Amino acid sequence: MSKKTPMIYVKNVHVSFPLHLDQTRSFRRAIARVAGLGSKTGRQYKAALSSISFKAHKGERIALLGSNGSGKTTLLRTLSGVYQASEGTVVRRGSVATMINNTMGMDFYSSGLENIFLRGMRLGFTRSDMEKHVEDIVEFTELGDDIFRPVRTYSSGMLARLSFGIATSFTADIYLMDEWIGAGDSRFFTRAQERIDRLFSENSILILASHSDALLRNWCTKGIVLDGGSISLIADIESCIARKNEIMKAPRVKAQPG
Amino acid sequence: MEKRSKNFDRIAQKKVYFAKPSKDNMMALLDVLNALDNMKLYTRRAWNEIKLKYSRSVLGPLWEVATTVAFVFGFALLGSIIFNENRTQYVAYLTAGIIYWQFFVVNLNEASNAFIANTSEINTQSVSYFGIIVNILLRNIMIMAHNLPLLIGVAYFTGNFGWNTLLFIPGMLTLVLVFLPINLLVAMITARYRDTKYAISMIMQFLFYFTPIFWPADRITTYPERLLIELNPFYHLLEVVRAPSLGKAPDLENYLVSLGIFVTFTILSSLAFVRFRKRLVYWL
Repeated sequence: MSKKTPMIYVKNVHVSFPLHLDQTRSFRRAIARVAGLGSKTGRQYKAALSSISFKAHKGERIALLGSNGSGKTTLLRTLSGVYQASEGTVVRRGSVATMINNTMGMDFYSSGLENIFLRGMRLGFTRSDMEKHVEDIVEFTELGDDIFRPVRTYSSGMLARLSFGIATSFTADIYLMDEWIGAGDSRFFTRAQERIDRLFSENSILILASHSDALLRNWCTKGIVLDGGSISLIADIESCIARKNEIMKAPRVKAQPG
Repeated sequence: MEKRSKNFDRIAQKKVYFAKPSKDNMMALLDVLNALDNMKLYTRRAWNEIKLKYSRSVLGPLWEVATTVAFVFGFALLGSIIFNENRTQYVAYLTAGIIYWQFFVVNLNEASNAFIANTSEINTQSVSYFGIIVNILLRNIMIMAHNLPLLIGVAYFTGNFGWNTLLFIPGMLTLVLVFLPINLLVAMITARYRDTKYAISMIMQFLFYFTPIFWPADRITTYPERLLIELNPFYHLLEVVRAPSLGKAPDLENYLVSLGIFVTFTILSSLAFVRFRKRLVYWL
């Protein structure tokens, strides 16, 4: 195990997405601009995250709450290194297991079993690395003989079980999970929680984004409520759920352009 | 969970992630180092992707060879008459030319799609962008290698085997070095400007007629007409592998131009990569 304890330190992070791409993603505009016919004024950015600061220490299970588009997934992606902040610092210590997209690296024409290896490859593990985990994964998924069928024949719950099984087959220090695990049934949740409890040591950090209050209550001890890309509250899970529900009740304001 | 392999430990050790806007150089360098460190994995991944590609096809890889053979046989008779060439030598020339040209075309098309095709992975975890480029080049070389038996067969029957054939190896290495930076740049530009993909297809179609593939290069000897050949970078890239396949040595000039292309594109793509690496994900 690691000598240094895992932690996440996020300070004053801003992430903004360019909005002008879909208009200017063409030669015509680019050429026009070079020729001096267009200008850079057409560039627009949307602030997806602004002034985010928090710390996560070992042993913490943090829920990310907020309405659609409040920045939960963006924050997860920033933590995993997909997005780099345009301002601010992200420091992360510890190995990471990311569960943001459950079909990443999968080939839908290949069997579930083959996909365990395919996904493993995307995670940086060779066939022989994964062979040690196959049994454990197959057992967790409870897919039985379906594991030999092509993934395109799977239901979304089966897919969720497979993905979750793979992602949690090796121990990591930091788990980043997005709400797709909501595709499973209650049996899946119970088993998933058992599995997380088994994997989760006093040294790990879990960050889970979800809309399910029940799931968050069961899995998390602390919460971060996001509203329009900024942090609205960092507190214990109950206060966070209450705050989120308040935000949900408020009338949705149409975002101002720019 | 106790039985971890060496690879597991190696990955687990890369534990510290530190991102700040001012560290673009560092991030780009780490990206490249990370890719070189995982060479074995990208080779396996490329191999696997080829297997998947043929998964539901009966003839699979034979189609690659059949396409080449169809073109060569379709054109060989006619070409040898039009250009008044020795038929066997013309077949060898055409076979080698078309196989490598096909590699250039497929490679550039795939490169332009490199990041776009891997969007889901790029959006999910922190990836080595250079690793994706390495993966795609390896895959395209493997696909080209399907034709190797054909190439060897033709060289054998035409009696073109010789010491010069060994120069194929440095030739291939030259292509790898040249196409890594080219592919990276092409992949980045296409991610941002989607028209590039179509422009590349068009340019390659145009250059197919301008590059000596189905017409013999030694037909044009006088200047300035000869410049049509000499100024075409693809002619030089083609020669470093085609000449050895025909039992000849490439000219020094071919290697020098290739080196020039390598240096130019390494500089261009490094600059672009450092500057735009972190924006790439938003372009997808």
